[in-house]
Amino acid sequence: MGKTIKLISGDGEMFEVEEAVAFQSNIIKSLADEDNADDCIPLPRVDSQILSKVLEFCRKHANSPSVHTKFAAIPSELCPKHDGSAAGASSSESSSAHSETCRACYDAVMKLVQWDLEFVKVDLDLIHHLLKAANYLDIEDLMFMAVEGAANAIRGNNPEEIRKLFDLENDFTPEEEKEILKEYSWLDDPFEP
Amino acid sequence: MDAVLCDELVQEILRRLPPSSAPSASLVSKRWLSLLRSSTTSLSLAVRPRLPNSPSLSSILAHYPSVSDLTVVSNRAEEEDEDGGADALVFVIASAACNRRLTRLRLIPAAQVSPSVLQSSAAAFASLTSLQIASLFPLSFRWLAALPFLKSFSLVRSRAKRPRIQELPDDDDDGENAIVMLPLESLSLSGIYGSDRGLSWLWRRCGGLRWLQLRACEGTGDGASSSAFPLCLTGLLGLELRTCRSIADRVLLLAADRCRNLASFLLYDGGSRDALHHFIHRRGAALRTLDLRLPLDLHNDHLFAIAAEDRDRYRLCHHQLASLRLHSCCLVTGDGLRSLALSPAGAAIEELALVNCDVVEREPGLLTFLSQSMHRLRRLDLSHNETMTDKEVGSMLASCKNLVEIRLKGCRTLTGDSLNSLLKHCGKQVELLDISRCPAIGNEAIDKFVTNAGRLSQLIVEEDKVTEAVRAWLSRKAIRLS
Repeated sequence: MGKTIKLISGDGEMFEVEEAVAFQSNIIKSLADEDNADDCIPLPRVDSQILSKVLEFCRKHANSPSVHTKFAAIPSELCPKHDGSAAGASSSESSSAHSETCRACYDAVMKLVQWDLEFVKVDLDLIHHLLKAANYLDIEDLMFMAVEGAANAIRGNNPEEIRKLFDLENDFTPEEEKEILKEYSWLDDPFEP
Repeated sequence: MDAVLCDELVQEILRRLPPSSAPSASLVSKRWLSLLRSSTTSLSLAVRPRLPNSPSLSSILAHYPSVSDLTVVSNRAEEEDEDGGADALVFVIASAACNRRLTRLRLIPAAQVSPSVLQSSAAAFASLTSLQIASLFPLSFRWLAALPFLKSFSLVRSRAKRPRIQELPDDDDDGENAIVMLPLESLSLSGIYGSDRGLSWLWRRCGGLRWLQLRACEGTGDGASSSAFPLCLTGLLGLELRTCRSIADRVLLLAADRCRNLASFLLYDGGSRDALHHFIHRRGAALRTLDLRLPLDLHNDHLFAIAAEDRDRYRLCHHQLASLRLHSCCLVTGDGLRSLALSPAGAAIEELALVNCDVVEREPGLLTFLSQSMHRLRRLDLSHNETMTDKEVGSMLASCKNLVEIRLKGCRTLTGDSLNSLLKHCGKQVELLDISRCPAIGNEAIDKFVTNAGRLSQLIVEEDKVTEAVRAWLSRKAIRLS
């Protein structure tokens, strides 16, 4: 159907995906725009395990790019209910206006959000890799969700738990820790007039 | 396993955390601590009785070089009598690493600051645009001239207290040939007494003032100062008098004469019937925003006056009243509101507040009448009308074609039915909803509303009334929950 793009992971595996999926990565999009003789894009810094996770995310988001970063919604042409019968304009303003009033699109976006929240409930090692991949490939929505996943791991946890999750060393001495805690006795809730 | 993330990524993650996670995040590692501190631009500190070994304010501030918005709060009651307490604070802040970056500084409340410390610190606060302090003694404002970018200044006293008698002579102009206007555009003063000296210097230099707020002021300064006071009124776009009973009439009459560009006016707890009439007659037609809390002084005839078509004026400028807010105005009846709603002034109203106005409860059908007549109504505040019913609200909402914001805080008898009516009639365009302190509105009704109101961007409700799933949806859509 649509044109496909071939991607080669760092460990030599080939992935063939549709343009709509791959082009959520601004890097892949700009590399594909250049004339590539063998239309195969190498991604040496992403290995196959991570790349397949990334593509899983992108496949799910192919119909609703920028849901998180631009709060844009499903373009009306792709609305499950309206099937392209929506009045022409495909500008992003009319798309978001469309889904603000279209219940079907609204439900679909809500479902996507739930799926995303589950997607990032994984061990932090994978989140790390996703963060770096999203950064390297410049995929805004994946970056947003990966950061959310990492922040979720921090919220409500004490320092030792956080260190375990992020595989970090404690380089404070007990005296230094006490000093920092004393400083926090200064911090106040923001004043709300 | 290379788990090292670059600095920007770590800062991205830290930025996503709520303030309550900061202490834990700081103790993870030295690198995280430094990244957290260096990305902090807004800081709020509390001065409390200190244990002997606790770090000093200057050592705290040394860790936050990027702060541009600093608030220091002090709750100590004895601060007011302590000499030098707040001065030391100002000095420490002036020496801090962030001093030149500071654009906004608030000292709330703290002991008296002296003008000489402000004068000598001014050079350090090169970027300051907004300053709030609690008390200034002696009352002298000359140091304002040393802060060239200061657009906003607030003197907000925590308690009205008889000041000590100033032995110093008044700040008069003494041979200064040209009076240089201060860059001040926004000024808020509280607790000024009729015996206060030192204000004439200030009033003479506030010709560029756009917004003035006086709170709990018994006077505008002594004789010399008071005669200079009208000089600051000419360019005002907004004027607020909060609980200034003794000066309200005088200021109303002066404003009626001088505030030719006044678009916004607020009057709480003060002002006689006649003075208010005169003011409305002179300035009413050009006002965009009118906010009145006058339980004993606002009458129907004032509303008639706002509504009155002054034919000459109407030809010159269309009625501009876009926002009318009435609080606790119990002498106003449906007649006054109805005639206002039917007038050209009323027809232009986009924001209406009837907060704790028992006319809403005394006269059923009034709200519906108002919403039918005010076609441009977009923002509505009916907070604290404790016996207002779902039926009343529902029948009003049926006529609200353009409603974008609605506040129902403290409307204790409202139930989920009101939310359903809101969804039915205004669900497609509502952007802000306040239903805090409405114990009879249940979680389910809230869930239903939130997931169906496509344009909702701000929801004000208690945290425990929102389910987890809805909370996740809210944070995706950047809907503020407060």
